[in-house]
Amino acid sequence: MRVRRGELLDALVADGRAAVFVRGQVVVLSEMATVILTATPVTGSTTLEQLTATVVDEFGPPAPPLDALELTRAQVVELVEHHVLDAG
Amino acid sequence: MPVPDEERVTRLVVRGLGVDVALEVVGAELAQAVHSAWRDAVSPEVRGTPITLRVAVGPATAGDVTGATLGEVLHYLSPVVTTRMIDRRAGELVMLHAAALADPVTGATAVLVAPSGTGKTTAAATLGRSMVYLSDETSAITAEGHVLPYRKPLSVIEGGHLKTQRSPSELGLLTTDTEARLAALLVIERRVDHEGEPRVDPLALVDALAALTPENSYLARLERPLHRLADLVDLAGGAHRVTYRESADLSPLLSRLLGARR
Repeated sequence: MRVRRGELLDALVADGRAAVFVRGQVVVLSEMATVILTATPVTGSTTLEQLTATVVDEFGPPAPPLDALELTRAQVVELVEHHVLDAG
Repeated sequence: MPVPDEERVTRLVVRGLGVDVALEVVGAELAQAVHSAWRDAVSPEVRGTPITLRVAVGPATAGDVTGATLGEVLHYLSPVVTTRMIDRRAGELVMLHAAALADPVTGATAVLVAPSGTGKTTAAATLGRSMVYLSDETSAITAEGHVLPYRKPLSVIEGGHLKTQRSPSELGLLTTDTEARLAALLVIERRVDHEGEPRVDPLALVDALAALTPENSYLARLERPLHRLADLVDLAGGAHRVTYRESADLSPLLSRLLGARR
């Protein structure tokens, strides 16, 4: 799975959380979603695996049976649904 | 041959949000009513190229703002003027759905943000008796934090199917000139079940941006809109959510907040 940034009018990070202006509304991101957004390059795309590695670097691995890749995937899917990220 | 009173056109320039609107009012009686309701926004001079609106009692073809009665014309005039002014400043100013009131001595200004119909006019009409009244509906703020007045008539419930349009000074509000600068940014929420003093909760910056964004006009037209809003939050010393019951309860809170920001 590859993702790129959506068409963001503006984004601002404060105290570990981002506010993103997309499609006429502001979406406030969780700390994990903020890490994923900032790890996604402004131009070009990145992979789910690369994002997962960044998330694990930041927060450490999740306690079993949770899986870092699946947790990151769920967060990325949500960001895509809100048009903060685009798939592909 | 003299022009009959009902056909005489009176030109009246009103200013709000730093924009001049020239009202060409048809008929002496309507002109008097418009002047009375808009007297606190009337400008003795014209700056730049004003927006011009023809205002008349009569069918829609009679002007840009019309109505069957004098009261209807006044009712429809205010939103049209507001919309034209906001359109003119799109991409320049942060324009919040907010009341604005200033300390009469220092000009330190509180901007009270709330959705339409949730208490802004009531709060402004209460607090504006001891503070300088700037607006009950639209607060336009420059990048430097200057709050531009817009003293349109207030809509007052006095019976009948339309609200009556009264000028701020007619309602006893302070309309003295002041250099208003942003000093407090409050997202207000009136709750009938709230008890005691107003509750004040500081908003984290990203939460403040999320709360303020829906109450903006043309925010997306600004360059880096979230950063522009964040700069205003910083100028105001942060944003707060205020829960209250009666608008008079806000008076001591504003005195304290603005006094601390002198």
